[in-house]
Amino acid sequence: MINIVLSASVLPWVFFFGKILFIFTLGFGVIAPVMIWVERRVAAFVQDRVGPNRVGPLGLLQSLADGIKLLLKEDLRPDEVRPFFFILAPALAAVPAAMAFAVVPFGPETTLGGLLAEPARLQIAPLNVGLLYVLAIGSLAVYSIALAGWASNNKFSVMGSLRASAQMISYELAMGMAVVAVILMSGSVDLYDIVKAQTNHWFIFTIPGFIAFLIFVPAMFAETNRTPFDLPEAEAELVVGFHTEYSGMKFGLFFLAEYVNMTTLSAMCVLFFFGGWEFLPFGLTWEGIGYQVDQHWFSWVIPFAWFAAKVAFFLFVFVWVRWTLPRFRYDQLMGLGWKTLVPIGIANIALVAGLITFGGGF
Amino acid sequence: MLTSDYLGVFVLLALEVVTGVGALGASYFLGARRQSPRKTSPYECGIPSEGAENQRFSVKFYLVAVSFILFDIEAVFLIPWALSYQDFVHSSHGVYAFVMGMIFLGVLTLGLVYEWRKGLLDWNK
Repeated sequence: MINIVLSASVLPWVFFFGKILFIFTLGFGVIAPVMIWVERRVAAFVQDRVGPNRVGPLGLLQSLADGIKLLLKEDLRPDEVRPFFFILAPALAAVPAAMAFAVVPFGPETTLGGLLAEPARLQIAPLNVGLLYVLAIGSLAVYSIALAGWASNNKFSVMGSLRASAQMISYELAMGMAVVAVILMSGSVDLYDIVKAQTNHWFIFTIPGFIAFLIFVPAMFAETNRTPFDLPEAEAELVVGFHTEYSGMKFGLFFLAEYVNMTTLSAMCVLFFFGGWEFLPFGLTWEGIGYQVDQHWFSWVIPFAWFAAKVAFFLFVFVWVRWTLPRFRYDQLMGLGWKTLVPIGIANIALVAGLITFGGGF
Repeated sequence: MLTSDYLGVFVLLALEVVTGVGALGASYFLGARRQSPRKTSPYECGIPSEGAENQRFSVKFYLVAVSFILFDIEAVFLIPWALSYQDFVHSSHGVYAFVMGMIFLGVLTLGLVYEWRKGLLDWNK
């Protein structure tokens, strides 16, 4: 048995499906449920409450209990909805959210301590157009929200989905400008190469990189419809907007998609500006401090854990900001996107290009 | 070895579609079914809903969508330029690439300034 598993022809496939199962389980089975719990606990602490603490140790199994509850809830379909699109929308929300995970490199190249013939990437699909893939998949999120609002045939839903669509496309533009600056600096759209380009200087510690980061972060919050950009939900005026009519598991999928989206964008932020899985900035890589990332078959775990820790930090920032800041007004939101972030983004692209040509680097 | 880099994408997609359909299907079969006209009426704070069929919305949303398409396509054109920029610099055509890029960005900025002056970006107008 062991001989079959470890034989040279089977091993790449084990590695291939192992990566997919690992990321999939981690995304849907660990990060999203734990994040929902973290959000509720942090909210409780910010508001001087206790929060969910009954189900399992510290309330950690709360999300599991909620999941089972949602599964057993009535599959309600209101009278006025357009049935096909009403069901399609939540499915469309959950699927693209996690599709971007396919190109996230979560660790250095490894041969698993010599088990594989040649170094392979810890990435489900090592696409050389990874960044374009992420942008393309990310744009699909608008469809689920627009469809959900339109299919619900409820005025609150329609208003919420209109707001959400306008907001998401506006900030997608700002995000695109930040990303073009990153491409200019790294000279690649392969996410693995973008991390490699930061070996000697994480992009956050360069002037144009820092500006791009300042554009990227608000865009990240707006793309996920999180506070301070949660106008599509606006509980008090729109009754949570585009998913007013949704309940049970269909609502659960929207909820799950929000957390998976947050994880994806946090991962992108770490890959673009914080050196991915690399240890410390300014050339202090894992090799630089004497850690062999390819010594044993499990040696990639430490860089991976470091990458996960960085992503976790940004996930915490999402939660932290949500329970600290109030909501924008809609004209302020659109103004910030079009009149501040996009012009800064354009200027930043010119700045990077100028620095590379005339300054010999950035 | 593995036939295509994209294989992983499709396997992940299949896994997710199965999960999504599975979750919705399971809830369809497991959930209780006690529907009543009142329960399935559209949500409207307790009063009969007028629906959204005839609802009008601000033309601003449409204008935002149109200018998004313009600017997003221009951003798409910027990506190949950004991608090959360092190659231009290394083959000492950096100034050429810079000037060309700036002309393109300049046109983009002119468009933005025009929209701004026309009041398209002022949501309250």
